[in-house]
Amino acid sequence: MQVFNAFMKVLKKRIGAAMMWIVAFLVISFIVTTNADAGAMKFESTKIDICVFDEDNTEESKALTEFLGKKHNIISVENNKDDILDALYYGRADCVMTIKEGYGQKLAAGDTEALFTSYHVHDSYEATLAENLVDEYVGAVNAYLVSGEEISSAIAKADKAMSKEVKVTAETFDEGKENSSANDFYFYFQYLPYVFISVMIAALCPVLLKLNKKEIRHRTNCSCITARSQSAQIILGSCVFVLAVWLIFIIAGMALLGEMYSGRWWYAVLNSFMFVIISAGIAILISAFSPEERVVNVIANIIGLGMSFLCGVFVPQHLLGDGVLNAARFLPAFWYIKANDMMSGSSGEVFTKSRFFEYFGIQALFAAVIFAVVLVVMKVKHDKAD
Amino acid sequence: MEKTVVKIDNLVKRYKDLVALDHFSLEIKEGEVFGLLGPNGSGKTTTINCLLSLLSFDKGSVEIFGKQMTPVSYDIKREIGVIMQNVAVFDEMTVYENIDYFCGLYIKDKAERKKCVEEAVKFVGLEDFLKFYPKKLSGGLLRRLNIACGIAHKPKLIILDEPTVAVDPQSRNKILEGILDLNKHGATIIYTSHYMEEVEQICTRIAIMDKGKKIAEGTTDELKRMIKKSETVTIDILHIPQEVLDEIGRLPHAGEVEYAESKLTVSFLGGKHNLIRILDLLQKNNLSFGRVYTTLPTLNDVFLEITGTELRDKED
Repeated sequence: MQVFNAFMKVLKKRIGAAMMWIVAFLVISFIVTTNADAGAMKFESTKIDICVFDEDNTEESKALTEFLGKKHNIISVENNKDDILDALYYGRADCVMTIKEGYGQKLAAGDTEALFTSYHVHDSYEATLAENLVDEYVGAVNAYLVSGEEISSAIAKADKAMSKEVKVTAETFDEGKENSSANDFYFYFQYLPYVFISVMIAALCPVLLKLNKKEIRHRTNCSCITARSQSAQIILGSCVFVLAVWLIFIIAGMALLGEMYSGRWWYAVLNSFMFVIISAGIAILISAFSPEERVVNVIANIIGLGMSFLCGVFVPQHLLGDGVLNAARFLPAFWYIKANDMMSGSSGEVFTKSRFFEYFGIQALFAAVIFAVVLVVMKVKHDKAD
Repeated sequence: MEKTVVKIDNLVKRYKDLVALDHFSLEIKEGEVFGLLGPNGSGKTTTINCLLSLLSFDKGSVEIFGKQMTPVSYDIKREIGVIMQNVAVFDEMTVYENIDYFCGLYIKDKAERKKCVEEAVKFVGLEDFLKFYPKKLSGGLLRRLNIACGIAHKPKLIILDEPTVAVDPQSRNKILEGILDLNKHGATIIYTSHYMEEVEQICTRIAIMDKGKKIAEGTTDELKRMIKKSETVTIDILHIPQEVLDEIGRLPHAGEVEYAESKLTVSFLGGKHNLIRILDLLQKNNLSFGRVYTTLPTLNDVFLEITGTELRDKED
């Protein structure tokens, strides 16, 4: 096992580069997943900043102002046009509403037309939200009046009915119990392609370059160790490294997120295993071209960042243009992300095992192609050297 | 009768239109220090690579220890030590680890290997640098490490491909002494170089190569006897008339006569008492002279006379 031992010794000297990527990734993952958990899967009703001028100053108009105060933030603005426009322009107020004189009387009479005037930014959804709420309120009061209630009772019942909190629950496609963990796992697996490619190119590539360096190879070829044994030991070394890196991330994922993979996240684990093999294949392919060692980091960045941006690692696929996505189809990370998106439900695609294995199979084909190209490159190089 | 260790027969190696080895044949006997001398690009390294089956060849055969050499002749490879032109060691391993690694490619038994590694370390004089990484070693020490990696498994045939390139004179002498020592311990040596002085110094037999062909073979003396030039006489003299120069040129066996920068240089193509004849002539013409010395022909002269070009010109 001399060649294997040499592999490990050389790798030991390069492990620093790999560890840098691994630690950086885990720290960033921790931050991203923690933040994602805090907001993404919780519902909170929107409150806008609204200013109300009550020109009617009746019990009815005061009740409306009070109701609006429960739903939104009431702010005060000087009642002159310039101040109102300034408040809207600088975003201090989302909507400035005036309850016109006679509001109480009109409401009691069942007249709901032209009760208010308002200032708001053109096409502002906040203003629409406020107007809709007021319209609903007026409609509800009117409905109670029509049904025979007194005005005071109608206002009280409308207020009560509309003040009820709506219970909102966020649902994902995850089979498991915890939605938040599904989201965390999604983010964790989402960024793995970038770090896998970077780690493999940064650590595995230089080791292979060293072992395949012409002088070392010649000396080894002159020895009584068989070519098959040499290759087998190098492959074994590579497998051990690839497996170790993959296990680190899978175990770190559990440790970081504080729970075991469940349900379809085991498919994500499988998906990541296929991608780590692809990443190793890419690193081996690069080393087969025998680039200068100092160029390897540049290549790692180009391939790692390039593939990640094109395939939706950093930017969700649904935000990418059709042209980009069409080009990305020819890259393995695209199919990895597609499978991951499907598992999290973020792409809107319903998870099915057959679809997962379709994406997984495409990645396996990529891996097969990469390793076939490696063999061709090595053969061509061998023939050329001869 | 001495056993034949290496037999190369009619070897032809082509790189597309370029003929790197042109019907090259060679026989090396046990215990020899055999020198392959030739300028850069003459085919020395190609010969070594074909010999070691690192390169395939178009025609001919290679036998080592009486057996056909192929890429899978692991029993033959066990007996060969290779020291390549470029240093082939791992920067990530210490001196000891490097020697142990390459020795381990031949010797599986740890105890036996440890002994071999220690002997190799002692042989090249790297005892004080065992824990050093190659990057911390000077060029000469690095070359010694390179040699130790190639000989630690105690091979019977050692092939050294230009092991002294870019090495300081002190380390070069140490390496050359080491090679002779290895030979004394029973190893047959094949030594390639374009430094004729080195080859002349250590090799018992030499083959001169040019353009993939063997142009001459023999001991140093045999090679020198192959050429007409026997000696060159050089005399420091302040002034010499043209008629005296002409007279010198007419001396028996005199060849080229040159006078430049107060130095008279006369080549003789054989003959005895050449120096006495030339000094008599100068005295007869009342010409006083300073330092007088003669040089015997070098391998460069052999190469020059056979190919019409100098070894050193080609190196450049």
